Amino acid sequence: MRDLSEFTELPELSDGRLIVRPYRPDDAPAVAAMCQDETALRWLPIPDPYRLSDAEEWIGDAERRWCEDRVASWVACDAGSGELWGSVSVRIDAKNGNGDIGYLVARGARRGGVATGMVALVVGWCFDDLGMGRLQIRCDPRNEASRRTILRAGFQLEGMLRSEQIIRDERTDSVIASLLPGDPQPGRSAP
Amino acid sequence: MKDLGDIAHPPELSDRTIRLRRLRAADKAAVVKACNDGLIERFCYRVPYPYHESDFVEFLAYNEHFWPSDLMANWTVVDAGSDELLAMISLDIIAVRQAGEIGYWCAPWARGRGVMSTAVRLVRDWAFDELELERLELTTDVDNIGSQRVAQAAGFRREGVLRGYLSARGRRSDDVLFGMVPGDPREPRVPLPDPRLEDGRLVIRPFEPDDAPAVQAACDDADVAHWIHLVPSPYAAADAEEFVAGSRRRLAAGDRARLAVCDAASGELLGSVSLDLYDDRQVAEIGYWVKREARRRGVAGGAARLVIDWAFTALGVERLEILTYPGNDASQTLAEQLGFRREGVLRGFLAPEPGKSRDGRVEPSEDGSLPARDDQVQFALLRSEWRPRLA
Repeated sequence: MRDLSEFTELPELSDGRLIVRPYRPDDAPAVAAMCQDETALRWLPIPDPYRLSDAEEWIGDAERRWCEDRVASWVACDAGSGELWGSVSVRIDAKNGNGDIGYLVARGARRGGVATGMVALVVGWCFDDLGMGRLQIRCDPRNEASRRTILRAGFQLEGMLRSEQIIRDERTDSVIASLLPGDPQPGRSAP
Repeated sequence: MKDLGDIAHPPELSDRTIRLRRLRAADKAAVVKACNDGLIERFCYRVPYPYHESDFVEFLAYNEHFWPSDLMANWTVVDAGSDELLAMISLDIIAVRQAGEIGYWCAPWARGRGVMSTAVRLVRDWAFDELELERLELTTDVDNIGSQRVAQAAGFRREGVLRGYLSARGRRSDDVLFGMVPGDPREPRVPLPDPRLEDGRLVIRPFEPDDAPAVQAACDDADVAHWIHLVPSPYAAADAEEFVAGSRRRLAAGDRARLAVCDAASGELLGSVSLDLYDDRQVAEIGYWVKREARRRGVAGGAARLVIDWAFTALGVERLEILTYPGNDASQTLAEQLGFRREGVLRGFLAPEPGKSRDGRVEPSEDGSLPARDDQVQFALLRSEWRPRLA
């Protein structure tokens, strides 16, 4: 895969309807509102309650996460209004060319294909621009919406990782699914 | 920060065991003897080598000017009772950012008994509590494991690695940056408890630099190269040296314990077992290899059991993983014997290596635009499933 040191800044990605762009300091109120939500708090390892200061800290840390931990994180916005619809990230293991994707959709934007859209944009960047070899998504097996997104984005289920995460002090299982560059990807022309 | 103009000279600092005092002309013989040491040559670039009596005379003369002209405090560390010279330590104050940098060397005869970390603690407390500095720093070569332990014992936090940071004696060094601010806890920050594990038959211990030839002999083996990701073939002396040095660095950093597995009776190196720690040490991955002459004797299983017990007890790991190539039947059988459960096959999880042909490979695309990748079978053992062995 490409040398990540060429990528000092994260790109802005768009499919015409959605814009996936790096965090800005003034995203904090919308990020806090998105995370202080029953569904978000149930499935994600984020502070509960989620306060404005948590969002400010998360956003302030974004550049360090990319430079040091190789975690790229973005917000997803409506291309027209700029309204914040979700967030998406990929943790890159450059040595093996692997990436681990995570995402969250704001309450008001669910069921509109936002999750599939932003995952597809990040998949495109990882495979086409970075030349990565494998992407994976892990999610709680009880999270039906996320499992549907994973399959809709073309990811294939591989197994169940038991007791793999801690969400709100509970150890939880994760379904693991992967997408390889040669796999069929709905909504994307074959590479 | 205090007004340093009020301090005519840095005070003596001491505890029951050591005293930090001004350098004296009578220290010459001991300083010259200490500084003509291989480790000081290797890691202390500011100390001349070979170290002559004239170097000491110059240092002594300049030493009196360090504080008034450069805000550099320099102490000789001596035994509190006998006044035997043990070490040297300095605090270089960078007034513009109200920070201080600690530097030191320890005489060969004083190593391994906590002298240096005690001295660093005394200087640290003076810097924070008396001078009211806002930050302390300490840098040390990535391969200077002893010095990294000193920093950790004094409560310093590992902040990063500065690549090519210092240039001396014909090479550039990568240095670990340790930092501390006044609010930090001053207790030791032990990255990993001392991994010395035994079951009567095997001893598991950290790698030492002189293990490199035995590592090379063991790894220059087609089976090891075939089944272990990124093991080169043929396996050169430099590969073994890098393996040992890398093992020592990562153990000091605390994110990976790659350890030597030895015969308890003879001390002979039989193999290696590793534990990679993820997610705040909640999840860890075990890996191992055993040299050809020692296979089929239960060495891998014995070593894995010791490390599994260590991971669940001393490290508080919740979930242990083993990843193997689909064709590695021996490793999969062992994983199941160890109580691990097969959870799935991770497709194309690893980039394939040239010249190594394995089962379970994602084929490259016909036009060559997509490279091949190797699958990994995933096994895991949870704390709740683990049965500690009876002593």
